[in-house]
Amino acid sequence: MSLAVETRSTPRDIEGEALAALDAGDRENAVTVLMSAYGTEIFRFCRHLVTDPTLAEDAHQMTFVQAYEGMERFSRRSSLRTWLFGIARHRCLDALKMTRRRGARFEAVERLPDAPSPELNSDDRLTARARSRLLAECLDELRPRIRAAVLLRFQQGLSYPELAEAVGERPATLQARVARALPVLRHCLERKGAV
Amino acid sequence: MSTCCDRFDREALLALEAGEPLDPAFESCDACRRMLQQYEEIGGALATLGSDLEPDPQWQAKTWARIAQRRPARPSWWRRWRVLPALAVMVLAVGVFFLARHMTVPETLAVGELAVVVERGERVMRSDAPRPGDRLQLRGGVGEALHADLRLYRNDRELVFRCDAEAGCRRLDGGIVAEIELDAIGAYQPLLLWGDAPIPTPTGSGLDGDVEEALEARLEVELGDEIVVE
Repeated sequence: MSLAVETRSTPRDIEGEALAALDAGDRENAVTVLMSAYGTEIFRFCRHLVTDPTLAEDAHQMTFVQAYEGMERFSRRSSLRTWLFGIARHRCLDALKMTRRRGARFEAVERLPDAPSPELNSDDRLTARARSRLLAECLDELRPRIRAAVLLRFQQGLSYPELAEAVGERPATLQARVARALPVLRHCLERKGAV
Repeated sequence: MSTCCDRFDREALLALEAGEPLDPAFESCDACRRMLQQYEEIGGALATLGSDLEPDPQWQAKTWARIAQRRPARPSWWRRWRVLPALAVMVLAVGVFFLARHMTVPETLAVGELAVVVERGERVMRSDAPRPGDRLQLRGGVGEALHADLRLYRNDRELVFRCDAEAGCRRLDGGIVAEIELDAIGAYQPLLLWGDAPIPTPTGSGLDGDVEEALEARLEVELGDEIVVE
């Protein structure tokens, strides 16, 4: 048993198509296939991990630049999707470090106060959009590496073995990390009146 | 004294994430069942988080443009090579000499490319993860920059290697190469700095501070993939 996680099966035809192109020495085609198949979900992952839209966009593009440059060294121990998320996580964490360093050069992400918003009193129905916004703010309270693990697990539906491949840590370590993060999210959402 | 809710957060969540069944003691507790429902709702909300977000429609074209930009440009002598075969022979001879001296020839690196290779040490127990005793080869493309440095930090704070100060580092045509033994566990991250301005001395405050200094000095900065040594 586990918390409800939509574990997405990797579409075999996409992986097979990309690997066939790679085997034929056609890196361009292989990366084009991956861009079409996984580009949007990697963008969403970067956008919630990095939060700054410009840096998230940069990290998203750099993920595929690095995939193109490193594709011939892809070891095939994991799926290409898992491998791509591993690259994306690195690029996003680097982008976050740059955000901290460059500080004032980028606009700060607008944050809501911790107190429940007037529109979110107990009589109101919380819209999906408002809930997402509050959840995104609460995610921002997690340290970046923990946030990455939570997003890869729940938003992207990676299993723990896949997550372990993507981030280079043991599944048990990641299970503990995610399990400790969930109460932080719940308490934050409670403070904001969202649960 | 811990409540059943505290215990749920501490024990049940970990068990659930490990794929184990929920302890029956929690199932008989109303507060715990409510918490489980809340966590399932949070999991569901996370699964749909950002489902309305779409990347810029031009992102693929922009990515291909960046890939093209990073491909190493052919140096000016390339055109001459085509009409002066003798020059090609000379270049080849230099290459052979270089190969003989250094055993390995680094492949041409695009400017800003930072390649990381972990070479297995002989004295260590093998596993997939890098171990103390393994060697790290770093190669960074810096083009014709007047100044360049390749550094390695442990756990974001400790500068364990810098080309300016250490042996085991060499500047090659268009690149900089370093070989370092990984002598302790930790998360290592390489940093490549290059540009026409002098490289600032490390601040002693770790990776963040040094990158900030480099950016202030108008240098180019590239962070390599993190290597976790266990």
